[in-house]
Amino acid sequence: MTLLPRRPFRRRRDGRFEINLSTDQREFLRSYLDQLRDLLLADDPNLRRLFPAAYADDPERDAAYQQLVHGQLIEARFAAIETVEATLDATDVTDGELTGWMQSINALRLVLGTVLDVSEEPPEPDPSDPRFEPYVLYEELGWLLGHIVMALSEALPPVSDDAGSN
Amino acid sequence: MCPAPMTAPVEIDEPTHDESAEPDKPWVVIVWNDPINLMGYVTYVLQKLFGYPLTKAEALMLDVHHKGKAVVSTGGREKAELDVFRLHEHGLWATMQQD
Repeated sequence: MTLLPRRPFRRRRDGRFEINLSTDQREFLRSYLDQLRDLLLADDPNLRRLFPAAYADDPERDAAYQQLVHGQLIEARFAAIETVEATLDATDVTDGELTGWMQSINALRLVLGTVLDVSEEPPEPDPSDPRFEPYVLYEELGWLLGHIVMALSEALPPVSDDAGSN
Repeated sequence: MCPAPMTAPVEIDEPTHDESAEPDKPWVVIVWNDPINLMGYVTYVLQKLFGYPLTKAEALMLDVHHKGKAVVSTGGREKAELDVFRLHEHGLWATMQQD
């Protein structure tokens, strides 16, 4: 994994977000997002984490929920992937665009984590493991996601501590 | 979000659109622990979707992490279903049930 000296995503004073990624990193994202799109089109079983049950104990209601939202969830994924692809070579993006990056990278992690069947604290990647490459990719995606979350968190509207009594 | 299809054969003059057996009991939206989603990501999503302050979002995230789950919102069925949908859109493992 290549750790850049600069933060890969940084909020600027004008409210836009700088992206400092290498060409290699951008290309690897492009390639994996292509694969994610193919999986979405194929309705691959490794996508199950993207479509959880809403009613865990009520199959009938859950079927109705899935019928209602499945298409919307897929459309939202495609839209997020398109946002990333449209801004993949950009040096700066809006918060809405960076949100598309966040959702796409998180979707990639969810799928890859499902394929790798990861545990909460995965062991250090072992270069002799045949799954070394996807493990490194998984770590890299987590690193990128963590920085996106950090950058976007700075743009959250201020909330008082007694708010949110939902 | 649309409600689920009506199951009662006769529409009685009831003030509620919730066709569940116990319409007065609120629904709770639960986020479950999973090994993939990052803790910081979960905290951010709870702040963004529900407008929770960082302290509350972090406390809920830690409940998810340590206790395996946390109730992140409550309300009528339609609101709960919309909340679950928005959580699913963000890749969180969320379910809803009547309290």
